[in-house]
Amino acid sequence: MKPVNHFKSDIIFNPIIILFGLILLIFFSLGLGHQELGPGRLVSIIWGNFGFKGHESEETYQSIVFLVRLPRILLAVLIGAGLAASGAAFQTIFRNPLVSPEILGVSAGAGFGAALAMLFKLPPILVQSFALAFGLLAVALTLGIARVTDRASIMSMLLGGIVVTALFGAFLGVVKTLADPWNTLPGIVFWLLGSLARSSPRDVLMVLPATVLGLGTLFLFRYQIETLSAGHDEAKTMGVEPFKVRMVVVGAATLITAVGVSVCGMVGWIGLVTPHLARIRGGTSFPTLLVRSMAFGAILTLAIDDLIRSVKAAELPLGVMTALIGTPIFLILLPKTRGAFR
Amino acid sequence: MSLAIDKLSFGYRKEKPIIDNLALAISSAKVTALLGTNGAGKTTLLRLILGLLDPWKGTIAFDGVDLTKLTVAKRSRLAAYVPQFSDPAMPGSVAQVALMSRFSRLSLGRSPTSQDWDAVAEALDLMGITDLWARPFMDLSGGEKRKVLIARALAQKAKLLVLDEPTAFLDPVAQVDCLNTLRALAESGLTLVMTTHFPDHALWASDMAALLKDGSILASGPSHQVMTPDNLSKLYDRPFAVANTEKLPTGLTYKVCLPLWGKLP
Repeated sequence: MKPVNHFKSDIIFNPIIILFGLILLIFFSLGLGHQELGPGRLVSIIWGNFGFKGHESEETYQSIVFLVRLPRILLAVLIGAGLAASGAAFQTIFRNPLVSPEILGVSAGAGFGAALAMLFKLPPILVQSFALAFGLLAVALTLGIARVTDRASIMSMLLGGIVVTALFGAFLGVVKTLADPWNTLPGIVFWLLGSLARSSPRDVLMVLPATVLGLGTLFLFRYQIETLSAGHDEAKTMGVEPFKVRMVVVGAATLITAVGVSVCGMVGWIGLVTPHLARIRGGTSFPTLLVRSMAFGAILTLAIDDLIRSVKAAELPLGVMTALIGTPIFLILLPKTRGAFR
Repeated sequence: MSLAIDKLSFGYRKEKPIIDNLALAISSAKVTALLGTNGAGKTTLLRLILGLLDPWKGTIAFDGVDLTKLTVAKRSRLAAYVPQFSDPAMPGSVAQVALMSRFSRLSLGRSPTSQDWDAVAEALDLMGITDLWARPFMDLSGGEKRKVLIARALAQKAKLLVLDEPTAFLDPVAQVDCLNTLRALAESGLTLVMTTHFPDHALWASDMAALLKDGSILASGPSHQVMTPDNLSKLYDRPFAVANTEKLPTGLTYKVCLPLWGKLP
């Protein structure tokens, strides 16, 4: 028997069309902004950057395209793909459609860490470092609580996550209360809402390796993760150690989310909604879900960020826009994908 | 390939053993039915055999290999589990669900090979459900799902199949179909252990029966020797009758077990 695709092949799930769509969207996004650049102009700028002879006096545009727009676009793609893949993996191992990558407290921890650094007026690199460190610390705390209460069962991990999220939410409240309401507090609030507006090439260098490492790990373990979707007992009798795989997934997803959140703030909904988007035609095996979620997460995040950039009046925070757009998508999708969860 | 359980003890709380110094020998290439009241420890015993629980002490040897000492992956090559229900979080097709039991064989990062798909095809064929190959698992009836779960265990290529009440919640015809399938599997060389709440099924379909009461074996051996009114009465704490049916259109008579109720003389 051949490993055929068992469901009707579908134009929206065709990998070539998805990849082509993403490349097209990236190209389109490069032209978007205060200085709108048409496709022809864009080609000539990109052409020029690779040392080919182009128009003179295009250096300004080259730096706009390659040092300002491209990092932002790459970050949207990386963070979107990473959050969506983490969400898909968490929904699978926790066997729950309402789980998102933030469930173990990583975002709450990162938010507190960033706010703390801003309270002490530390430079941006330390704000990011604090966010990352506290994000990881929060998840470690969740795992510790889960281990003490019930040998790291699914329920104890989710409960631990809820407790830790509440705890760091309270810490954040303390920091906000102490923060100078004129100078510091607005920065904290804006950071928490999430944004890609100040993306720099250095941010890409920080996010890229962590995301690639995390996604690579999820990909390597994709079939073991799929086995876990059958539940602890069945996975174990089918030869897969549930605890080990769960820890690998938590490690990979936490790395992706913590680094992503530390660079661009809180971006919710992508990790929750995208796996549902990837399942609109019914349940599927995790390896397929993973790849689809990555692609859809990248496209969705980039498209939302493009929308933010095209609104000229004010730049809305990314976290706000993902929720504004994510909520209706989720409400439309949930009844359609419910059949895949019972 | 026989299963030998010896001096097995286990409990969820320290002072209260559920399985108490249990010894049981299960013959190879046979169906063995495990009977007992609710709470007698049937499921606990199955979970111990499958390595889902760690015994306090004792051995569970399959063909001379102590299952309790093996790694999860190695144990899965010897013993496979057929649960009553499976509730995969977001299952795809029947073939994808059955393929799951092959994944522990894949080295990290590799995709299933044609050998894995062949094992699934063979297992679905053996269960007579090849036509369900591409159907979404969630759309199947309870009986069909159970066949898929048996096929999934068969694709695992283990010699020992552990089944948790394989006939529960099935209609009478599906129950008999299921039992016939289990018999055929035993005849093909597999060793099957199943729990059941139907004493009749132990007589109709299993070669051996083991009666479990208060964590140890009350009686075990060939079904027709073990399933006596006396043993069943002791097992369930209620008078039992074992009666022969009249000659059925198939030309055979069957034994049926009935708990007695009402006033006894």
